[in-house]
Order: sequence, then structure tokens, then C-alpha cells
Amino acid sequence: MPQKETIENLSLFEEIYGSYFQAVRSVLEHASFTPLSLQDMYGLVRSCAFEESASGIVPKLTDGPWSSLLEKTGEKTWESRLKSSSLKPPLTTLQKSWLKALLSDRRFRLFFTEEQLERLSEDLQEIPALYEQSDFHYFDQYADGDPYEANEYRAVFQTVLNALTENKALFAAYEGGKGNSMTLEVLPCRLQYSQKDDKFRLLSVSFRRGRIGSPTILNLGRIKACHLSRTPVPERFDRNRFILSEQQNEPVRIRIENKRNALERCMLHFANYEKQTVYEPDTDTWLCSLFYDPSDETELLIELLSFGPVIRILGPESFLKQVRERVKRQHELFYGAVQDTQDSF
Amino acid sequence: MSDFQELIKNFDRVRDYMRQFFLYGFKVRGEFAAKSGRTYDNERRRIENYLADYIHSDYTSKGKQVSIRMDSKQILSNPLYAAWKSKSFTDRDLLLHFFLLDLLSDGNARTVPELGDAISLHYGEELDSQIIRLKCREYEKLGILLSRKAGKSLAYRLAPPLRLEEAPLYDTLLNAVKFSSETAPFGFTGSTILDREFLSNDLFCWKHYFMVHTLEDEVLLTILTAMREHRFLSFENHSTRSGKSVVLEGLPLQIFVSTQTGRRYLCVYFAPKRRFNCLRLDCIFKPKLLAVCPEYERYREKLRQNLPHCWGVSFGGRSRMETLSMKLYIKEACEGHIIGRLQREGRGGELLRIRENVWLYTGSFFDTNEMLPWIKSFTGRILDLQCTNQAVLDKVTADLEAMYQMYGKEEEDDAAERNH
Repeated sequence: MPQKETIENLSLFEEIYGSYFQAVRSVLEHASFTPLSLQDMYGLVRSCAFEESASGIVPKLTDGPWSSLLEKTGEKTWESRLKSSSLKPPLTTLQKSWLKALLSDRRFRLFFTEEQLERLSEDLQEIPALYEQSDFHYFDQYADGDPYEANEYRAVFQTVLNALTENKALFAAYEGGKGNSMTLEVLPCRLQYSQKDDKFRLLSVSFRRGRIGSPTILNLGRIKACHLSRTPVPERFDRNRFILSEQQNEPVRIRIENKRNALERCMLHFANYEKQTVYEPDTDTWLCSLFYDPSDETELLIELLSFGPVIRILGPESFLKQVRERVKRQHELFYGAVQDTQDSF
Repeated sequence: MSDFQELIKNFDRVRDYMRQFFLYGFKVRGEFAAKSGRTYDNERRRIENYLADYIHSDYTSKGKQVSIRMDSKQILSNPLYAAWKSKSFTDRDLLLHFFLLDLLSDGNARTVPELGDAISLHYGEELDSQIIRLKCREYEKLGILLSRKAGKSLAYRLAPPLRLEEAPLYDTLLNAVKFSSETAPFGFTGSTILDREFLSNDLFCWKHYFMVHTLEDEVLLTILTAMREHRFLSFENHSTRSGKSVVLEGLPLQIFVSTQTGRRYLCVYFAPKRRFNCLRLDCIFKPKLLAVCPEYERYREKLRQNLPHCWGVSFGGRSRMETLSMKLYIKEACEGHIIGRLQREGRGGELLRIRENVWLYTGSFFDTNEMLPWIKSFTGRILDLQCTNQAVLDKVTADLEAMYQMYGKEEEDDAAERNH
């Protein structure tokens, strides 16, 4: 009779999830296959734990209070004293109930067929969900998110995911921004997701007759159909190289006034950008530099405009010029005649 | 600093410092007045260890500024999860963890005395039965061990793996975990599932990712327990503006989430005031479960009925409904995307085409004051604004005028400032 699992008193902050336990597990599992040197152990711990962890963990394992886990086999090597080579703990109730909660997440369901989802539901039948989707209300999410329930979209998503996991090129029938259809061959690099847009984009590189081209971003919602390509992916292709977005050399600089809680609002709002902030006591203001991807310039511009006069945009000049144009144009719309509009946002 | 420890016992110790370094990053040692300089040094060093790749230090006349700097588009997995993986433990905790996993890996159940004997025999460690018993109980609560009666005592065995862990489906599940560990509530849990497999995300990346809010997840877990059990909740609410803290009691109903800032709010019903209120999750501390509310579903339903009238997190003041209209100039031939913006960002407001290139957006909400940032994002296109709340209208008009003074008239000052 299976014991009923409950989610009372669950905690995220437990040592079994900790980096030290993970590091020691890594050492012991490796040491069960082959004797390890000190250098091996330092390397394994560094890959699992924090900056100074190795200097604390390794001496405890070799010559300290945890040394009953290892046995010295040579002058400078150690092997595991444990009989089992796999020390993977069973999934905890927290982990299982989190997975159970995900079964109601439309995005999570994209990864599976209906049959697989049924199988998952059966396996997690006894587990209570950690939360319900209705516990959360995403009040400012855009209304035109991707159609996760549509069969065509699910098929595209799963094929794109296959291309990524199996490192294959992808043929895609794509509908461009102006409704024009095209066929593309690309090498997928990463699937990018935005919670605000509630959309997936495929970051990829164009690929034509076996030759690697330039970075290409495809909205998943606009891929009408796709399949894996038989053209082999060149060995030299490193998909990590292409996901690093190019940051503008010169950041946008803003001055934040000490009023209307502007500092905190700005710091939270722009927390997704790399930024640097300095307080200027003479003016009781903060100078903030925001580093951004050039492809996000318009988005950043309208975000900054939404703060109104509690921030002042100082530069760079090309950015400031766009702000001036819009603000002056707004003044003209309110107080003067306007003939036409050129810019877009 | 010989007594420096990387690990911590209490998560709240690191929560505030990490948030300050991540969000602000301009404070120097002396400005962390709430704690001693030595506490600051320890917390700073700890965070520098957890997030070594993202720490920046700058030196100013007032001292060293430490900041956590990262571009969320370049991040594959939230580095702040490191804080959750830093709980301290005793030597015995660690030894027992691996002894139990090793001894019970054969699938057989063992009583505490049997475990004690086996530990002594195989690993040469003499551990008190009570300590082994406590650890077994703790692991049973976590779901790692299962117990059954064996005569007068309990025998423990490892919880069996999920059936799907043996199937090819598990690889698909782990791909879905790579995604969900950065996008679903309590994503940290997903990161521990990946750790368990020595895996990390290599498939996805993110845009508009607000990582700092993971620091509120333990508080959120207690709040969700209260919601699931339909209980009232008491908690401390810290005001970031006044620095003051008050203890409040209310009925927790829903978590409001901003996808544009990552901020999360607890929506509470305060019975004495007969009001719904949203309070920032990062300002809530020490939540405690109170009595069950028999009418929980009724209040939840009331909230559901109110949601279409909330622009954001405000339920308004005395006037129960305000209407705002904004007339915009949109050159339809080449600016269809602006119409798209109004449709996807308008939160149920009505959009009408008045005539060629002129569109009217109208929305009725509890508090139109919350709409102002959105309205200002259309700067350069607004032909006219009307609002039933005159104060809102005055504010946005004054803001647009101030911006004109700032950018339209003061170009010379700008040039001087840039040169400076």
C-alpha cells in the first residue's frame, strides 16, 4: 500500500539540495570507478560548488571528518568506500509535487504527446500538486501569446526541440512579418522564451547548401511547418557562439530623480538588463548605465519614456535624438498642428 | 576571517544582501546600517563566492561598491539559485546521507539498529541510534525514505523511483524541466532535479527574465499552503519607503505577477476593511498560518469577478470605476504594429478606428493611475486624453509637459551635461 504523500512543511532550503552534497556525491561516484587524485577532486568540487568550497570539502574528505567515505589506495589517490556507484537520491516530495503542478502548465505540456501526458499523470497520481495555475494571475502579460494548444504549433515545437537535442539542421516554412511566405534552412541554437510576450523564438543561424550564414531569429508562432534536414551539420558549428547577443558598446545613461519612488521602480523594472548605478550626493540623484542589445532599442526606449520626467535620458546621442523627437512631437500634437508621422515604435 | 563559513543556517541572512547587491549595487559598506560591518563583510564574501562570475566591485570615495551584474539574455540558469543551495549542515548529516543512500541502495528495508550496525561494519563509524532515527524520520518527511512496521520498530527503505524514470520519456521530461526551472513558479526545484542528473540547461535562453524574485519563494510556499488550506494568514509587512514594519492578518487569495518587472504581489482580503489589497511579496516576512475561513471560495469568486477591472494590482479608492480614453495618431500604412500593441497590451480595453490614421482606446478600471506608465509609452502619438479622474489627467499632462521642458527646450543643458 503506497504511503500517501503530503506537502505540509515542505521547504526549499534543505541541505540535500545543497552544492556541498552535490559536490561530495560527484567525488564519491567518480571515486567508485577510478581512484582520484587531489587535483581530480578539486576539479569535481569546483564544477558543483562555490568559489571557496573546494578548499573546505577536499581536506575533509581526505583527512578530516568525512574521510570514512573514502579509502586511500595509493600515496596520492583515493577511492570510494561505498559499495554503490550511484548515489542519486530518490525524488523528494517537493520535487514530485512541483512536477505534478507542471502538468497543468500549457507550456510544459508542449513537450509531450497526449499519451505521454497520460503516462506522467498516472505516475504522479498519488502526489499533490505544489500549486495550481489559478493561484497566479499574470496581469500584464501580452494577450497575443503563442497558441500552445494548437496541434500545428505543438508539432512545430516538438520538431524544433528534436533538431536542438539531436543537433540537426531544420527546414522551415515561415511566414514573414508582412505575411510573405518563405522556406528556410537553419541551424537551431537555442529556443528563447519571453514570459512578457508569452512567446518562443528560435535563435538560429541560416544554413544554405551546407554553408553557415548569419544569425536568424524565427518566431515559433510563424513557423507553419518544419522538418529535420538531412544535410549534415558541420563539425565546426558551435551553437553557443551564436546565442551571445551583441551588446551596444555605449550604454544608455539615465539620471534618476529622488522622487516618486523612481529609484526602486527603475531598479526593478530594468533588473533584466546589465546595469551599473552610482549615487551622486551633490544632486541627490542616481546615474544608471543600462547595457542593451541593439535589437531591443525600441523596446528600451518606450520603457524609459513610460517613466516620464522622474528620469532623464542623457545619452547616447542617437538614443537621445529619438527621445527628443517623440517628446517634441507629442507637444506639437497637443498644442500645434501635425502633418505626418515618420517614426515607429 | 578564520571563522568565515560559506554556508548559512538561516536563509533570511542572505536574502536581503543578495537583493540589495543585485537590484541596486551602489551601496557601500557604511550604508548597510541595519547590521554590523563584520556581518556585511561576511555576507559580501559569501555572495562573492556564490556568484563569482557576476560580481563587480567599484571603488568610490565612500568605499567599495559591490554589485551583481548580469544580462538576463545571456543567462541559461538563474545564478541566484546558489543561495538556496547554501544551507549549512553537520558532519554527521553529510555522512549519514551517503551511508543511508549506500546501504539502502539494495532495495531492502532496515531498522535503525540494523542501520547502526551496518554503518559501524562497513564504514567504521559509531553513530548513536537516536541520531540515525532522527535522520530517517527527516528523510521520510522529505519523501526520500519510506517506513513500514517491522515488529515493534520501523524499517526504512529508499522511496522507489517513479516508473517513468526508467523510460525514454524521462529524457523528454528532463528537457521540460530545463525549461520550467527558469519559467515556472519555484523554478529552483527544477534546478535540483537537474542537479540530481548532473545536467544543466543547454536548450533554452530567456528574454525579460527577472531572476531576483526567487529569493521570495520560501515565503510564497507558506502563503500557498494557506491558500490551499483556505486559511487566514498573519505576516510582517515591511514598507520600503518608511522602513517601518507592521503585522497584518488577512485572507490570502491569489498571487499577482508582473511579467514586465517580475514583481509578485499577494492579494489579500482584509475582512475588517472589506477590501482586497495587493502587497509586494518581497516586503512580506514571517508568514504564519491561522484559522480556516469557511467562506474562502466566496471571497475567491468575488476576486475573480473583480479581476477584469484591475489594470495592475490596485483595487482603487473611493470611486469604484474610472474610465480613460486615449486618441492616437497611427499611420496605418506603415504602423500596423502600433495597433497590434494596443490590442495585446490594452488589457480588455476597447479599440475603435475613428477615421483614417486615428484610433481611440477606451478602458474602464478601478484605478487609472496605474495606466500612466503605459500611456506615456505612446509619447509622440497621443492626440487627446480624457479621464473621469481629473487628477490622473492632470498628472499625465504635467508629466508630458515636464518632459517637453526636459528634452524639447533644454537641449543646451543636455549638451552641457554630456560634456560634463
